[in-house]
Amino acid sequence: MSENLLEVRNLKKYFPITAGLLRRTVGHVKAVDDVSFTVRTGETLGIVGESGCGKSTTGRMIMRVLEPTSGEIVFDGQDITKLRGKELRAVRPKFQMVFQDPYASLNPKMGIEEIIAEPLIVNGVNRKQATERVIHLLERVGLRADDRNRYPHEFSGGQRQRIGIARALALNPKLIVADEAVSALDVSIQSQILNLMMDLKKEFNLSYIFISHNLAVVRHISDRVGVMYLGHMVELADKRSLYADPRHPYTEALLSAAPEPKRQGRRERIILQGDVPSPANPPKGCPFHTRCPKVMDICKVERPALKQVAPNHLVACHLYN
Amino acid sequence: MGTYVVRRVLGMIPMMFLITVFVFLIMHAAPGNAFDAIMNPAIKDIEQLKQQLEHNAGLDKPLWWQYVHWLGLFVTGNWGFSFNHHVPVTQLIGPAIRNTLILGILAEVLTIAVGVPFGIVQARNPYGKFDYTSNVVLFCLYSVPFFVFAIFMIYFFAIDLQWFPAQGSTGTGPGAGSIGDHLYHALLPALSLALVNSTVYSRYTRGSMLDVSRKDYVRTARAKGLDEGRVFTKHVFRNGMIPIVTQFGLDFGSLVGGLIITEGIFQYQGMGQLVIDAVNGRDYNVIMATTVLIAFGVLIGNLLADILYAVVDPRIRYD
Amino acid sequence: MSANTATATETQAQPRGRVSKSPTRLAFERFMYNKAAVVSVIVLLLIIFISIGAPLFTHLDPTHQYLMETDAPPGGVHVLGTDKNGFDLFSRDLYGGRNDLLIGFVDTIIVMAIGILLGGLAGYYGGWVDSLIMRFCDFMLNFPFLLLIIVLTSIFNSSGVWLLIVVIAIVFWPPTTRLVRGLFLNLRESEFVLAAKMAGAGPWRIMFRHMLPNIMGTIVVNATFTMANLIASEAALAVIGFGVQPPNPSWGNVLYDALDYFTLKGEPWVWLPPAALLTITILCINFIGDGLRDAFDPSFEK
Repeated sequence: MSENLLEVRNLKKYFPITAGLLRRTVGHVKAVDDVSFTVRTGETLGIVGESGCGKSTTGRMIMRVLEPTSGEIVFDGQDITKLRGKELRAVRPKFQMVFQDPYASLNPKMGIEEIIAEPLIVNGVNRKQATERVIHLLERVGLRADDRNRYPHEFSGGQRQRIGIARALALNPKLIVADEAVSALDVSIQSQILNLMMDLKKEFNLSYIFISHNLAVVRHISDRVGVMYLGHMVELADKRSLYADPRHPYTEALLSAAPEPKRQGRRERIILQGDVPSPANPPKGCPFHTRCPKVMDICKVERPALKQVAPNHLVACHLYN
Repeated sequence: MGTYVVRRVLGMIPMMFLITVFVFLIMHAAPGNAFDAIMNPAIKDIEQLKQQLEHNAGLDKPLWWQYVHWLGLFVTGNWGFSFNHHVPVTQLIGPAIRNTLILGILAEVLTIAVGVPFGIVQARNPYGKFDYTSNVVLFCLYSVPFFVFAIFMIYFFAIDLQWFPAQGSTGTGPGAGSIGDHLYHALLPALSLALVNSTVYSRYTRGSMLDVSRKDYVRTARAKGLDEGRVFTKHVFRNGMIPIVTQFGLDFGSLVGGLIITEGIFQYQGMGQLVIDAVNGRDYNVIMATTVLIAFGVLIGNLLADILYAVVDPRIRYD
Repeated sequence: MSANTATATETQAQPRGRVSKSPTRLAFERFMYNKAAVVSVIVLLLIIFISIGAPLFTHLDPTHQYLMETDAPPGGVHVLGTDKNGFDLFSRDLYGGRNDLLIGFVDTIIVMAIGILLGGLAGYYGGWVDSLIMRFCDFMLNFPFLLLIIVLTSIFNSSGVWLLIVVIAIVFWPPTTRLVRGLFLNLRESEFVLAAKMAGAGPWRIMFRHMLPNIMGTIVVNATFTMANLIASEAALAVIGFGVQPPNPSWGNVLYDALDYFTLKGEPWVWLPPAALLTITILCINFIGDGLRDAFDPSFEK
């Protein structure tokens, strides 16, 4: 259980900004700036943060559909950062993705069987076996075997997301990145899908990276949670530890703002001043210092490293030095 | 904005260079050369004379040399001699450009003057009986090739009613060459070009106005009690015109194509007619000069349309 | 008997209730509801039939000059009379359609093929592939196309239709390529394309199995309008003497021979029929395109 399935080291993604007559690169949008973490076999790592904090970019880099600027992604003991073309396609079955928009993630011109079977067909499984697998998967995600003859436009959002999950499962992956996988769904449907994902995790021996802006959703499904701000991982801890005892001022502010049904010790609502700075021009030192209620002098100069402050609890903040 | 214009202008230079290379190569690939067309085959020692002439003209030099030589002459305004008209090419091109500009501008003014207001009238009362009927009519009109219009124009207005001349760019007599005379001759060909093109503008104007009038800021303007006329002039019209400017830029190439055909049908002495005559008479110097100039014209026209677009639409930042 | 039982069990295995319809099937059904479009299909088929089946309606040779009977009025052997060169007009109007439609169909196919291939590559790969293809497109778009056709056809003097087809294709591919590139570019970052990448599909499979079917509607609509444009453009060229070259007939070059005061004024049977045929053909194709656009409109599905 404690073995590392995925190791992400110093991952960066800079998008160049060009200007002027010769289209020189005058700066970079630092979407993800030096992020490191691990995912253990069988666990669910939640990643939370506001929109634009780089969480989706991180997910897509790990899935190798977006080229990292630098850093290393080691999956199952193999460095997959530099793989290309055929080599990359050979390892792809081991990690899959569930997408945010259940309407955009299914090809509207393809039948359901074709959609779910595609990963199988592409990887050389014959038609008959693929169909059997599709039926099994459909039933497993709570749809009927007959549904394979229908088209995406005949299904509701929740059903489509089930289809997307079935497709992700087709190749028996070890890791699934779910990028805002329930954000587009009605609240009542959200919990159904979350529960389905948790059941499937046991049955298929999966590990998840669950990316969401929704703290409650992440809390429901995750074992550990990482908090991202402006392209940086600011806090990474066990779920209980993080929600009960947030250390980073940003996490505190986030949690205090989230409505919680069974809040025990009353937290004071922390209201952050100002807006998130532009990732094209991030502040020097700690990325959060422009809005931090506990800002110190050192925060404006030096960027804090992610350090262990309690068992299984990492924080990047000068308060804990 | 300034940088944008500079970049666009600089971007034109390689394009112009490519155009000259292209035109030169096409002409070079043409079978035979200018001397074949003009020499009397009865001349004694024709081969020797031809070789002498070709040597003098540099035709035995390598291809790149010929190109550079020609380009040098072209840039300095030395466009050679028309074999058919027996005058320098520059002398032919001046009046031709003037006539084509008169026709082109008149056609474009008529197109916009007819098309845009019509589209606005449609958009003021959308999905009504008038809108529906006129849409069908416009769609049918749009499908009529403009040269068919031209033929009908000539038939009715020039031959039957005799209101306008059937061909030419100027008349004879004391009034010949005046501005009025020029416009009088340009009106019929301009109308035949404008009628079909204006249907395109009507459709775009209608669509664009309807798009804008569904926007939230227009609804807000209505909701705060602005009268319909003010809503239209201040909000709908201004924003609705932006796509029309784009359309104008996109049309520029096809406008030039239409001008060439129309000039051919009406025997109107502009650049188009000059090209057609030159091609038919194998007048190589004229073909090369006119082709390059027309291509440059399209290039500059597109540039102007792009700049106009940048001026009209404040949302677009060019840096 | 055994075959019968097999079908019976298979039918039972099918889901009961409503039949699932593919998006293409739904589009087709919507198209069939559009009266103007359906009528246009019928009229266009009729025009194609009289062009291809021209020998069924006239035994006269459209390329033969009846030099003793120039400028004959309609009637007798020459149903629509003859023109000033002695060509039989009725047969030229019928056979002429063959060339116009041939150019329209073949060039549309060539233009679409080039457009889908180059536009697809540019839109899918982006980067320098995109820049290269698009700069080339810009160049071709800036070059006045009619001029190019005029110069090329007259330089490589030939009365064959195929040279004209090639030259027109060279000139007409850029707008379609641009359109297709834009469509591919829109889909490039879409989630179902990412999903296909995650499934391990290669570039060709993604381009042709995933992206292309989703833009096929727009491409088909564009193809019909392009065809109308191509036919009109060839005719426009012919009207100034640079299209299909006589004695090979086309609607446009029949018009070209009618462009003089005498013919326009006194012999409408020379120019009215080809003008009408051209206009009706283009009108029908445009109506079909309009019907297809409504049929493929995806706003219905959401």
